[in-house]
Amino acid sequence: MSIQKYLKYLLPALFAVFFYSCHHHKITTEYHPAVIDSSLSQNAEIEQELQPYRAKLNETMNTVLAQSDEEFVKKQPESNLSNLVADLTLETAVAKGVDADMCLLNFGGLRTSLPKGDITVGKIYELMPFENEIVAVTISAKQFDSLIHYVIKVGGQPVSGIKIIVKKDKTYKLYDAKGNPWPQKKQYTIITTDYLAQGGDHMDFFLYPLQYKEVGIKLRDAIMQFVKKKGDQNEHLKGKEDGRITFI
Amino acid sequence: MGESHLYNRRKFIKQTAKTSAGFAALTLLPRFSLFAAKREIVKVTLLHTNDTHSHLDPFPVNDPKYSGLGGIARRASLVDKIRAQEKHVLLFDAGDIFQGTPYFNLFGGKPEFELMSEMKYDAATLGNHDFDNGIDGLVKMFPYAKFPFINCNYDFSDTQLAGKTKPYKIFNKGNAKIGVIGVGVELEGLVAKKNYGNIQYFDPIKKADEQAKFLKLEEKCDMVVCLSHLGYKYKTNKVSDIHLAQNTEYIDVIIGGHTHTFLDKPDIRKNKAGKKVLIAQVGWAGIKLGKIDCEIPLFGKDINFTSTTIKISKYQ
Repeated sequence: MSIQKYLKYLLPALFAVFFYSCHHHKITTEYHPAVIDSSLSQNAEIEQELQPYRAKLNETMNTVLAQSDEEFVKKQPESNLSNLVADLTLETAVAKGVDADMCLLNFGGLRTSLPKGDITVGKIYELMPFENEIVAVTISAKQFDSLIHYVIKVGGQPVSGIKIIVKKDKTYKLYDAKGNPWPQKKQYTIITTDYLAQGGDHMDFFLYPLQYKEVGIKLRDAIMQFVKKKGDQNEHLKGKEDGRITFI
Repeated sequence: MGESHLYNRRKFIKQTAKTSAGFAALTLLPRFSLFAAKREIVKVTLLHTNDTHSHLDPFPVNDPKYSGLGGIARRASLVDKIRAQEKHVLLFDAGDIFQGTPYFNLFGGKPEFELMSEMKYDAATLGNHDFDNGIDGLVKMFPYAKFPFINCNYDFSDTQLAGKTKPYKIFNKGNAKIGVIGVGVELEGLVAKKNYGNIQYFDPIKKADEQAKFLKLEEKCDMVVCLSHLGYKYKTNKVSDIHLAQNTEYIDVIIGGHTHTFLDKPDIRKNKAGKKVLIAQVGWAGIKLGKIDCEIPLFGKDINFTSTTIKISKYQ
């Protein structure tokens, strides 16, 4: 038998095996996302390993930092809570050597009220669960005007270092923290958080800053340090509403 | 694949081959070893989490959205249960293990890594939040992780992480070789510069496909799984898992994260070569565990024709 005769049978066989293989080299997959809920038991070893961490965590969260004389609540245009947080944020930045004109935060970012009495570490986490950094953003006078219009339009946001008096006809007057007329400058440095500086809560006026600098502390840590210091000095937290944003 | 279709196909091949010169077929000979071909199918179960964000405990019962869900001890029970049922199981995480509960603020990620090691995670990739305590903070926690971190599009060479991660890892499960790669999101603008330091970011699509090609062609892997922290999809043209699936050629499964997307069924996209790629993601906070059952046929390892067909069914 000649080689050609073998080839006559071999080649189709090779072809068939080749195509069969290609056709069947498939990975078959099935997808089942499973919900982790109370129908599942707790793995005993994992639970046992986690327990000391949980105990330490609870102990830390229940640590009382200071006493408060009143309940601190969220409301617009201003509130004792907004003012407390904005003031301590500006103070923290200034203490870290930043030359700032004012501080602007967002009402929505304060996640809970603070009770009268014990202020615990856990409460500060509830108030500020986010990992936002305090930053200093320098913006032009034009962008600063947009900032003021924004604060007025949304009915007030936590501010410090400035007083905004809005009349019924929507005209407004600005003063500094001491009550002097707001200085006219070419640019202003605003203390805020990285979240807002990146345009969060529609703060578009921050998007093209002349300068952007991290202050080097998270907002939650700044609040924690402030409250702890009060406690350490045996002072109680006291709130104030001083008419820094007033609609007349 | 129905039998009649198969039969017809064979018949068709037989007929055409008989009548054609068939010489071209000879050139195909070196591509595979006819006699080494084994008709074996290996079942491998991929389990996955992403963006667990330090949620070691279940959500409190008064949580408006996720009341009582999650918890790492329960996740461990489920993993154990599946391991008891399945022969070949791989457990992966797609990044952002850190940050989100006070556990992280207090312990810097130690319990997260310890407990994941205890659960025998096989590998994880790095998410942006894993750099929240800086490179230093992450490196300090590495001794507690008994599983590798896989990434191929960050260059760590000028950082403390140099040599501490892997560009890929191969897992042998039965006779199947599973290649695993990992890609991370662009850190600039997402992570403070002081936290990511001198990490250089490279195009994840290019890097991932290079690595996947190497695993398929050089290492002869039967399947390539990519752990991705790029995000499922965006309204902008930011690179996502969908882009990754569509613009690569050698990846079979993408286990995603970052966008906290609860995919109740996988997204299946066609890659550059027209083959199907499965994209999975299970939200965040350890609320769900993903389970992908793969049946991998091993008909001669030299053949590099792989594609995915997907069936969807509910767990249990």
